[in-house]
Amino acid sequence: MISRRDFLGMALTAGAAGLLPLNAHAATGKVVVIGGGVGGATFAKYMKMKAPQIEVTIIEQNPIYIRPYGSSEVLNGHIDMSDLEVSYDALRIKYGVNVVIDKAVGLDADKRIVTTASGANFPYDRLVVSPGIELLYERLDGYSREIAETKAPSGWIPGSQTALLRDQIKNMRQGGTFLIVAPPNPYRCPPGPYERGALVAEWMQKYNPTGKVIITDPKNDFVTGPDMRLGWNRMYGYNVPEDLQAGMPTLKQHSEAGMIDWIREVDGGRPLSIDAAKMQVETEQGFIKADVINVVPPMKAGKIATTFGLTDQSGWCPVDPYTFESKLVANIHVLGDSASASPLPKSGFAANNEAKVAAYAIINLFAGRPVEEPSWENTCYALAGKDYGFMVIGVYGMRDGKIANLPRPGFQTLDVSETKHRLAAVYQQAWMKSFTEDSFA
Amino acid sequence: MKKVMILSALLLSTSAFADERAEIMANPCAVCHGTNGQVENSAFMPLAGMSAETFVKTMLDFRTGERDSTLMRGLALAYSDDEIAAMGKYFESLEVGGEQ
Repeated sequence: MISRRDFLGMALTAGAAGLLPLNAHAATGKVVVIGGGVGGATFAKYMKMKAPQIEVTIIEQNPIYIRPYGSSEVLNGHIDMSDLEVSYDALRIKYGVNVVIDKAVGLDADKRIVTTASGANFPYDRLVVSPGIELLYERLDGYSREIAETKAPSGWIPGSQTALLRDQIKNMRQGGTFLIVAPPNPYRCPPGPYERGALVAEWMQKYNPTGKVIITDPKNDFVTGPDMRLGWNRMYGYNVPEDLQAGMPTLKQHSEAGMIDWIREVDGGRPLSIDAAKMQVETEQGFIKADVINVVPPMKAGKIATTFGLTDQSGWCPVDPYTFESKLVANIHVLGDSASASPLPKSGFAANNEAKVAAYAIINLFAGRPVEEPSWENTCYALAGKDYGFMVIGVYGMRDGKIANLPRPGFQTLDVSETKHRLAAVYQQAWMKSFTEDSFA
Repeated sequence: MKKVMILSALLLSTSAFADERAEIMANPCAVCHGTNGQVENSAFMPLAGMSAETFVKTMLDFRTGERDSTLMRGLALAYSDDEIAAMGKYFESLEVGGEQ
């Protein structure tokens, strides 16, 4: 909880800035949101639901949102690119959010004005920055945005690279190799690269049965690791390394190399460089030749966060957990993947929850009230196949002034029935819909 | 019998939390169960207008494993009895459906 002293301090700050209304219950103010992803959209929606009198403007570059969550399902043809599109109509029509399609380029933090590429000025009382991630293509020797857009796509921010990758996989020769270069921590969607490998392997079983998926990794484990490896073992001929077998149910022993190979850091999986002309990646254990290469490069906070001075040396934005206000620039709040809010993960679910916490906090700040104690969850589903799902179960609260991971089992037990995996896959599909609705509709 | 008593005690106790705190704790539920608990999706249970008694009993049953679940057991274990009761009261207060 914020102490009375903290609250008085905040109230004084707010009062000095002319923000403290006479009637503490009538929160008024002007909020500008940069970025119409999950964080920005959920924030705007909940802000308007709770306090319709507050003016909320979203500045977003793209007229249609292309959702990253679930976008690997384009690669195996579960869904089309158009299924990733989410409209801003509900935010505009149902909630009265002013959605401006433009690009934020400048900030006057003292005068509290954002300027856009078209030359418009947007004054604010509170600014919310939720720009997602910037992919650091050049961190892998030989890789670049240009190579990602033409030869070896990333697709970690969905769009034309996702479509290119889908086409490359579809057109790959029989018996070809699909190589995923996994990123170092921290990154958006922790189970994502491994789910992507599984979904492509499942597709190959039908359309390219002698094909192979290799994941080369600078890490030794990942979130949902045991669940995912068990799924790989059951469905794609993957042999779980001996040192990772503890606590697992009876595993299949595959005498031949399976469809999925995961090369960990200890086995020399760390990627060193890519040669797109030769279609090969150099790792610590040697060269891997492939027919299709998908690089998930290192990443940091979305570019505008860096431009506005909201990032620290980590490349991410330090924030106050009660309000998500930047620790570096006053009156600016950072949400979603860009925020350093560990142990909250860089997931859409977390961005949605952070947005709700920040919306309530800003309403209270406008009204001169103390900020209520926050609470978050992160319950993401992942697939190892279209009928094989599992999940992450996270609940977070404040303990000793910090965001804490509350005690609970973080995953299902590994020995659950086939039916439970099927149910989780059903829930995964339902979640895509309910999550998108809660954030955008 | 013991469980019934706990349940009654939870429901009768005046809320240990401010209404807003209950709402903030309940907001993550909206991701699956819909904004204001009004999901339009047959896979998940709408929570809006559910009696607090049903909500609390269900959560406690998830927690003990008496009721089978995928991830709800993990969630139920992370919240205290008082927190579950406060969320139950919040969802009970919401309109069942209507314009979401």
